[in-house]
Amino acid sequence: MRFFNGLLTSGPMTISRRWGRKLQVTWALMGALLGTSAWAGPALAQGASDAGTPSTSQAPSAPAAPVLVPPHLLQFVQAAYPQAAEAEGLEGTVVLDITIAADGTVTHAVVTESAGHGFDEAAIDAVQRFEFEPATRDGVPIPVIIGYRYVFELRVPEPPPPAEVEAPATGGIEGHLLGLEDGLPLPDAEVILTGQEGSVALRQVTQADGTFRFDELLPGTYALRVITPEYGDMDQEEVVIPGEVTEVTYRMRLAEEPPDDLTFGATAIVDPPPREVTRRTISREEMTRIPGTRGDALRSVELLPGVARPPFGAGALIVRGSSPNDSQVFFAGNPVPLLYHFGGLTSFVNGGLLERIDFFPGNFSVRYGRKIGGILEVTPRDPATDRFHGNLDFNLIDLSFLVESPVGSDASVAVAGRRSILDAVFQAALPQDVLDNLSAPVYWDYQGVASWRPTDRDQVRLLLYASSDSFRFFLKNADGSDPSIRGNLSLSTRFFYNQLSWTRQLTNHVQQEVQWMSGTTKLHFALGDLIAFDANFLSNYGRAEWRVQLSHRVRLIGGLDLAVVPFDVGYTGPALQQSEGAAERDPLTGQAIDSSHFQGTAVQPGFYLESDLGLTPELEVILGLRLDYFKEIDAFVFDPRLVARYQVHEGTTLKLGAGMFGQAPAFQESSVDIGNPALAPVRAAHFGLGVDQDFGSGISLGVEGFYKQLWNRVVGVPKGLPPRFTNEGIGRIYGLEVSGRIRPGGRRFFAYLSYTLSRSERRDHPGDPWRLFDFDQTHIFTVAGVYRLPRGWEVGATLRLVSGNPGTPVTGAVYDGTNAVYSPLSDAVNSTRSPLFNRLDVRIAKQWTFQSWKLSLYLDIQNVYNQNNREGTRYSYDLSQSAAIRGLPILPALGIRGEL
Amino acid sequence: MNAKNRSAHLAVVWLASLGALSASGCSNNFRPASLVNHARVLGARIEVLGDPTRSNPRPGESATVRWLVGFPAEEQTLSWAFLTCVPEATSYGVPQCAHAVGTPAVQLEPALGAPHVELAIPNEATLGDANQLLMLGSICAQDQVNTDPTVQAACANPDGDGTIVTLRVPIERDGMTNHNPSLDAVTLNDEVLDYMAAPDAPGTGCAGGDAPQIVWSEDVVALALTAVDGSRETYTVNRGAPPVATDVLEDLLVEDLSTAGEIDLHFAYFDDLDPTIDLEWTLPALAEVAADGTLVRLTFTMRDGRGGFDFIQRAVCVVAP
Repeated sequence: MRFFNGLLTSGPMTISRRWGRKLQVTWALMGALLGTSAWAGPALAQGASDAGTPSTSQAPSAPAAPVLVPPHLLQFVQAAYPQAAEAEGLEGTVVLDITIAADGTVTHAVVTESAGHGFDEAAIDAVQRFEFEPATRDGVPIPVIIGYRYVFELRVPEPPPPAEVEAPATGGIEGHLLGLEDGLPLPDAEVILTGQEGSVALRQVTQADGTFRFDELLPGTYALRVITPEYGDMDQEEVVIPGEVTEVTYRMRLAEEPPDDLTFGATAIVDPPPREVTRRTISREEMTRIPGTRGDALRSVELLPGVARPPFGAGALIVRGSSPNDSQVFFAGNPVPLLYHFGGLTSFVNGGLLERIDFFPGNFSVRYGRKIGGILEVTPRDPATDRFHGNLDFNLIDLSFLVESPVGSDASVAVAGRRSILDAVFQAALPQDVLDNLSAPVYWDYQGVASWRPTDRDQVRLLLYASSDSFRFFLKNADGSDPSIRGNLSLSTRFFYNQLSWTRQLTNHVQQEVQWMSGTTKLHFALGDLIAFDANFLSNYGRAEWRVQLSHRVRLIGGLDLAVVPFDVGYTGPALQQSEGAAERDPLTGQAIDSSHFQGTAVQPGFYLESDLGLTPELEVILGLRLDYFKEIDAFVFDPRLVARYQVHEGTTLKLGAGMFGQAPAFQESSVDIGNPALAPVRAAHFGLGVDQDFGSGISLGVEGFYKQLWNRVVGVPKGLPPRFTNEGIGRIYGLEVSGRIRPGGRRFFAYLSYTLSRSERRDHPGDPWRLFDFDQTHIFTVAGVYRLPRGWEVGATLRLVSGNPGTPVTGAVYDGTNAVYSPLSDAVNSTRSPLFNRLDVRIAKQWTFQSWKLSLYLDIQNVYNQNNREGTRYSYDLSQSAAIRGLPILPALGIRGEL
Repeated sequence: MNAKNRSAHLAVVWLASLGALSASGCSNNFRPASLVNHARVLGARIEVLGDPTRSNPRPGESATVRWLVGFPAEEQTLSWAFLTCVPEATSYGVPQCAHAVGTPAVQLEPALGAPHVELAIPNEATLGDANQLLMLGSICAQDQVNTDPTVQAACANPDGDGTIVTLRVPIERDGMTNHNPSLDAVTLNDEVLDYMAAPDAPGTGCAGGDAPQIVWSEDVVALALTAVDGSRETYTVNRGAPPVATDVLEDLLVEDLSTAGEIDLHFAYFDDLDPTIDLEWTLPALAEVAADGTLVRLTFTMRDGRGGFDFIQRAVCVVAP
């Protein structure tokens, strides 16, 4: 005989199964929302939390928590047991994502964990005939995706019903669920009770005090399964005695592995529908475990397709062959001037405070403007609302901490900070006379988040964050090749930003998001008497956005953002050259020195409107329009954009995008004194076509081709003559990206694979030959894998193979008799290339879990085999000899981390 | 190892790692910048005809430009070609000519003697707004100079030992006279060094000769330079934004060169911080020292950054112990 059952419930209910004897319930996968209800996405995240999924914070753009009711299964359909499997005595469990429409029907089902042997097909066939009472949000039915586990199990046939006998007296089970480490009650855990021979299946959710109770149970032995997100599952057997209540207390130990639903963009967080052709999201749980990042979440961005490897120490974000200045990092919806501290070793924000990282390599939504490259959106999470948490991380490079706590019932706060410790080491190890001339690189950052939900429809969030990098060095002796390089060398970058955001659910169909950020940005660079650059910006940035669900298939998003930036800039130094594509630089000695001091206010309002049309269940089209104005050059930019996604069949989605993008010249390029105020905005057109394939079993693959055309690029006038800069430059970038992700059903292993094949070319002036972009990298291959071992051990490795960066060969030199230096004679710009870059990073971590806290020790080794990668070329004083500039040598980082 | 030493040791190890991190981009095996190992152009001195102390001629005056070339041993023959012109306006890059002034000066066949050019500075009408002339040229050792402007090489034989050179000749048009600075003296291990070798003195066989004898050792040799008082002149320059006329005292750039071994500072300055220049000279490796002594020539040039130039040459004999 055969036995199987399907498992789902959303409240205390019994699912009677003629054949049933095992029942499992999961709400684990409150997956991606159907495409037509953007506002419901974050809302469902809350809904998932209500249903037992751990609360995960919302993006700053997330709405206030509405009232959510999960779907109820009304009509269960038994699957046909595969004959071959039955004949072979095979059993199996199929995990599926089921899409439930707003009318309660199942519109789509996809296997996420396959059982093979025909079980998958049988399960899909059955669940597609399920009927649900739909999920609702504020009483309005909404479509959702849920996780569902279908268990196929063989069993002996039930014996015939016994002759009618007198009904026995009943008993009960009363339980108390507590945390082992802290003894605190565990509310919202699921307790599944299965009777003998499957005679009964009941579900309870523990109360706020961790209690549960089953009454009127027939005498006998019962199996109880306790399911908690944070503490894992536990199975027990209990005996019910007639007329008695069996009292039990279960103490759960924290699971060593974070639950799946801590991942982002896949489970507990329900993403808004895609507004871009390509959006790559890294889960919070995974992004801190990538080898070579020292647990720094933002450094995992370098693994993504389309992201070029920045040269040694640059820490720049190079997206699909675009200049770093063409891409923008947003933190909590606001642009920030940097991603990494000095040397690119550490990002400016504590990774433990991040909700998610979204990366848009091109064809991004009209929500983002003023950039023609890519967008990196870093979203902090809400502080914990359950209890106090904290962690402290110490390694050989810096020290960081994070503390968070609820404040009352509606609010929570978190504070994080970090400081480098290089200066302390210098202080301990270097003699005073050296210290008199050297100030070790120092960086620090802090983030403060306060979240308040005054009503179910409102969320107010305050963010305070800052970052500082500073470095000073005194060069007593002149450089042997360029004697003007001497004296004080100092560099600092600082910003202090404060942001207030308010999200409100205006009606069931309209959501509003308003935010404003103000702060200061200070940049400084000085080299002796020759170069001095001091820039002070009062950064103000605001956004207001409204999202309206006009119908089941039509959504409108409209918004405006505004940047108002008074600035005060002083510059003394040689004439500015174009930022990219210059030949080997002349020595500073002997160059004419410009001095300029300019003030002004950059005012850049932007307006955007986007419509999301579900033309058919398979085809979705997103049309966007954006209008930007740049006061400093008195120019408008109008950007139409289009994205379409078509679901060819189950698990296969075609996607395409086309759009225009514009950005203002860099402020120094358009300044009156040292630039050209008559410059026009830089323009780009993006085209992309790709396919995403979900193979099930946690394996997915994406392939996308792209083409970008650039025009109005700002290039330098030869010899730096007035007007110094023009818009004569053009560019073209094309390539193919492949991204793979493997995360099998178990939670022990995950892997990323990415490969980018691309070519990025520029032409600076009409008639010039095409040349390579400074950071053109033909091949970028990355594979990263992490495996969690028993007893708290974890190992991982990241391998990168990347084409070397282009370079400009020096063919000779001209001796400057006036200044005793040599100027280079160069071949064509970027006409050679460094050898292939390759590097292996390894991470080994061990975690101990104690009563109320955890301790981790990790060793993160970058460049394990100490590969001598070439990052550039260095020349002798007369340029007659050259040598490679080598990249990062083997760099072990040993760290320790405590977590409450 | 006590705790303090242990922590210091850890710090040093850690610093070494950091050092490796930063120095990984800088390591090389280049020849020392201070080493004269071929016919190396070292600068040019401009002297106004009739007043050789002045380095910036006035319109209508004449001046001599004499190039200094260092050799690893005895003097070599040179050929050269120069074109003087009004420079094209430019903010960076190798300077180019806008229009020529006078006729090119060429010595096609290699000969002994420093390259030199007599300049006739045009009058103000011809100069227009130009406040300097540009001299472009090539100097080639032991070979014919290249005169083909389409070939970027100093010698007719592209593999020859030659240098493409430029020199800016400032013209006094604002009444601000500039004088050539003067190096005063060189001391070696605190003793005045005033020996100058003859241009044709061979590079070896100096043991027992007139040149000061230095017995080879691994110890560095102390060199010190002084400049003649008053070499640092005050001049006025526009600085800041908006520009403000500011009086500035010259910093004098000194280039330190030797035909063997290595001087620790290729460049040094006479400035407010350093009225004297102290150098350390590491002698050549013992294997490079000839059995009968190696004659090492020391050359020190000095520039004021405004066209003023001076140099001083000395020699010593390094003998094996």
